[in-house]
Amino acid sequence: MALPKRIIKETERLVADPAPGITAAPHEDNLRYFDVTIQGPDGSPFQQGVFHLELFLPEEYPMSPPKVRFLTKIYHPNIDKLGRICLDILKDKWSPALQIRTVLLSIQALLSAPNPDDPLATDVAKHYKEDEKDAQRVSREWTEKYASK
Amino acid sequence: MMDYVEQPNSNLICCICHAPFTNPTTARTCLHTFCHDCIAVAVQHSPQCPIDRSSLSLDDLSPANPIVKHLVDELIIECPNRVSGCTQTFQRQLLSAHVKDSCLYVEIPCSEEQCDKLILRKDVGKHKDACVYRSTQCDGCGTTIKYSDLSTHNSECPSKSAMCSFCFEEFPRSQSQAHAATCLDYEIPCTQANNGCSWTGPRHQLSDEHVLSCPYEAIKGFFFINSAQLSSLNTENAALRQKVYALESVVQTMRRDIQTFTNVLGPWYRSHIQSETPPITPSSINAFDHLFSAPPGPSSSSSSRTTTNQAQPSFSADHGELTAHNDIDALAPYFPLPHEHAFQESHNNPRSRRSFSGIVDPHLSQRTLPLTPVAPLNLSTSLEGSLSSLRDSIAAVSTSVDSLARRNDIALTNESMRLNEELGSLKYAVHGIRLQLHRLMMDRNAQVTERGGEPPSGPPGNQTIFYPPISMMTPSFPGPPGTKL
Repeated sequence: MALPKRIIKETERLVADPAPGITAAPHEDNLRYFDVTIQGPDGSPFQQGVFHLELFLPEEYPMSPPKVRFLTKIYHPNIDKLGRICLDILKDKWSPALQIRTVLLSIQALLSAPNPDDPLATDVAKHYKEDEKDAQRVSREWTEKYASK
Repeated sequence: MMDYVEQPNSNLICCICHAPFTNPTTARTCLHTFCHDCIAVAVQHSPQCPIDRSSLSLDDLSPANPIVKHLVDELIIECPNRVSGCTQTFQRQLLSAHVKDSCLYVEIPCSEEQCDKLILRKDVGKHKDACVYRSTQCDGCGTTIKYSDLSTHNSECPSKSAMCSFCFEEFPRSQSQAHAATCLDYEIPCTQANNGCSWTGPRHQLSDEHVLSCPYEAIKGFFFINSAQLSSLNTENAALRQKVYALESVVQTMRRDIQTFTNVLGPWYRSHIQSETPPITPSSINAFDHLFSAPPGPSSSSSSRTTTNQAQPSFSADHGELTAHNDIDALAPYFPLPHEHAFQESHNNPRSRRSFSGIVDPHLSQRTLPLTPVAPLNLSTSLEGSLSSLRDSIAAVSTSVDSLARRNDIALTNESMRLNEELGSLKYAVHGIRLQLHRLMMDRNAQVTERGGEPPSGPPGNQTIFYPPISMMTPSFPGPPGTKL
């Protein structure tokens, strides 16, 4: 099936004019599959880290959301150890007006603002709730360990 | 998919397909605008506005403000055939007109009907000169033909030159027949070829050499006479064959007629054959006899002559003769005997069995044995249909006679009863008269006795005297006792 014009346009723009701290490049053999990197935002425990993600655009895109997963291990209350992300716009709050760029920016924002009240990794969330400082320390350690350049 | 010459204003971009609106459609609730197809699909997936997530259904959609439509329609686009070479740009709304009528890089079918090629519009002129189905003129005869047929035509065209394959002389093809008739080197068969000579050779050799040596040529007088005889025989034979066909068809008709008659007559057939003859004309009988008395013995030919002379009355008798002379089986189908009918008959009607018991078997015996003229009833032919109707009417008559008799009976009884009654009343009357007579007599007796000096004992005395006879008479009365007297 031919690639919709919208995906081609988005890809062109992602490559030509990337969002700060974010890169996304499609696989040559499958233009719906993207290798993504997100830099940990400054001021967050993930600062200095470079996180690898995979992003896949399903057949129904943009009517259904892209599938995104962290490949790099990360200590975050909304991301489980398999890399799955708890983010509303990737689920029921998806809108066809959103796009790859906005999704990735949202994920970047999620790194700056963890939300332990809507957890995916319950132990991490519990840790963040009980002792945020210590949890942030673990996050920093993990970032250093797994996400350093 | 269209390529826009300039980057369109971002306000004209649909957030779903990321291209300028196609059929711009605005949601009445939130006033966001999308392509019609995009928002229709999106609403089916999730009934909310893709931009502000307010709830939205298909009913909330309406065409966008015409200004929006004009803005996107007037965007300049490149021709979709740019890849093929078209460099034209035009307003988006003119796209279909461009592709349909003016784009030089659109493939259109060749105007020749048989040609199934698709040619770019710009190459149509070039193709017209090269198409194998184009019309062209033969330079010899000037007829218009398809280019693809030209080579075939060239080998047939009468105005092109041809070469004799025997003398190698060249001449226009139209004269080739004339040349073949005169060319001395042309290979021809012997003049006696149809009589069996197998020689063929150049024309000049025929008269010079072959005729002198040909064995058939020597006896060509015989061949001439022979072929004349043969042809006359053939004609005669054809005429005879035609005659035979005609006669056969006559026989067929007769056979059908006879079959029909036997069917109609059923078991009546034999008893009536002497008087009833099928409607056959004397001439057809003649033909019939000629055919079937084939080995012409003197007796059969004489019999056929008699038939011709006294055709109708002696028809069946003649058949008897024929049967004696000729093949019985050949004639058998003309005289089918309905055994089956006879059998059914004998089951149904024991009386008819007697009449048919003698003819259970063969055709010969039927013809020779004298038959009882008694017709069986209860047949299934039309003749016997009428018979059965007769029988029905007889039954009806008998029942009516029956009822008549019964009515007569009743009338008689009534009459006799009436007479009885009358008799009774008459008897009473007579009795009354007798009584009166008695009384008169008594009166007279009394007068006589009075006159005689003896005083009358009176009427009461008389009555007592004369009553006993009355009372004695009463029992003998058949009528009811105690009448009006």
